[in-house]
Amino acid sequence: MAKVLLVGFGKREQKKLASYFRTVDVFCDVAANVEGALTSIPKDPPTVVIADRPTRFEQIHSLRDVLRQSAPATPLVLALPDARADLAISAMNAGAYDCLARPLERADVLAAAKRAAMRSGRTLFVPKIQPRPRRAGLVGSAVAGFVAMTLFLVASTRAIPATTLDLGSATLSGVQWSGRRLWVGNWYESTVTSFQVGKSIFGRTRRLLMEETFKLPDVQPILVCDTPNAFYTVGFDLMIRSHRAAPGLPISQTEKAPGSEPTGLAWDGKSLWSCDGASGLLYRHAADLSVAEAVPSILPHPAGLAGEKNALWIVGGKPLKVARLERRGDGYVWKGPYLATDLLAEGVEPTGVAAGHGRLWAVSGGDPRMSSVPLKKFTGTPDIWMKAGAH
Amino acid sequence: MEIEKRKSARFSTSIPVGLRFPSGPHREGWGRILNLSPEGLLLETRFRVKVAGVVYVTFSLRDGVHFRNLRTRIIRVGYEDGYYIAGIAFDDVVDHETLRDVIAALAYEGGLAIS
Repeated sequence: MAKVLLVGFGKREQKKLASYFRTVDVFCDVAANVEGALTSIPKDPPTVVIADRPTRFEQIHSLRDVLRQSAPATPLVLALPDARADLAISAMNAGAYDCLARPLERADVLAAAKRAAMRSGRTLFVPKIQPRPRRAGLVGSAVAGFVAMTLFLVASTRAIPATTLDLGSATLSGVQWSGRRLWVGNWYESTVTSFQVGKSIFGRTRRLLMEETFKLPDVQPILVCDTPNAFYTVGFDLMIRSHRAAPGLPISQTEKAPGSEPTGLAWDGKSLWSCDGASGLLYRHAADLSVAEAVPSILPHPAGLAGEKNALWIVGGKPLKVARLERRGDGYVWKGPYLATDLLAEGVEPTGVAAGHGRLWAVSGGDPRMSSVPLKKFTGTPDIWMKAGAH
Repeated sequence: MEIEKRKSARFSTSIPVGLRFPSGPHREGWGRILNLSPEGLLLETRFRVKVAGVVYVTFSLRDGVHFRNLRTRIIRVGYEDGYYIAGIAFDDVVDHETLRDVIAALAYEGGLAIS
């Protein structure tokens, strides 16, 4: 039967080591000191000797010598006060197979004893030793990570966007919200990019997750607008284009913009609208992109157009103002104008405006940030009624 | 047919080796060299080693030739009953010629067994 001889350990450590070996059904014998071991080893050679590091180095040699003579197949393992390599190497050069550093961990003790026995052609015990502490740590970390991730996902909600968002480019032209999706045109790169608002455990988030970027080879978009049926752009060449909702946003239709200075493109839930800064008109487009109706803006030189369900927000003037156009009966109702000087810095004109998440948003040339103001602040003026088709 | 890819013979041995780790939870450790060649060595240790990691090894051969803090890189690692078995290669900074001469001399004298 395999047996381990423990030499020179205190009572407490003897018990601890014996308990380790009990888990693999190995019996432990005890010698109080090296002298005791020198007499007991020849009588009944153990499978492995584990000794506390003797105070005198010669005692290791004595142990080694008695093992060589009386039990040549019994290896010696030494326990060291700490993990100092120089101590371990000198002990191993003196005859120990391996050394154990304090604190004496179960896996280390069993592994060293089993290995030492195996190298001497003996089997101390059969069960495999797993790197238990490390695995426990890994499993614990994995479980903790899983729990944290689950909690985060549960706590994460569809946050609303922060009041200012960084879109990462200073050549933005045309923005539009479609629910949680934000469409952004970039005239310099000839691209249209869609972003999704990220989730957060907080109410608001600055995180925009890029969904897709479409390179438009024939268009330098200055205005963009997403609708349920098609995607529309106005390019530097002053052409309105409808794009099919297909990879690459292929162009399906092209029409000349009605004015010479297109500044806005929006969808009110029923129709595509554009506005022109030179003529001061809003244009409602038919399905073939022709102008179905022109409505004069109450703001001179409209600089941006944002759409909501059954309403449009027009931005323009100096200082910057906002007005709202609603369809009502056979005409339109204007609300405003309201001062919107906190939407952009003084004297800055928007290159794109959008309405969404209860706010009016604007981008301007040379600034990658999209700023916003709450729409509810634009209330409290008398309605101005205008008959449809009067112009 | 299998082509032998080793540049030089390995010598089986059981030499204590001191280890120094430039990073990780342990700064030093120890183990045993199981075989040795001028290009590298195979060692067993209870100290965790990772593939591609750098380890400095210190060992002495039987005739008292010391090799101190040779820079090595871990090529492969296996785990076996509480011990890491690591194949490691000496870095280029190690004088392979010296190692080759010493190991060859020891092998000739019977200090090491060819495996």
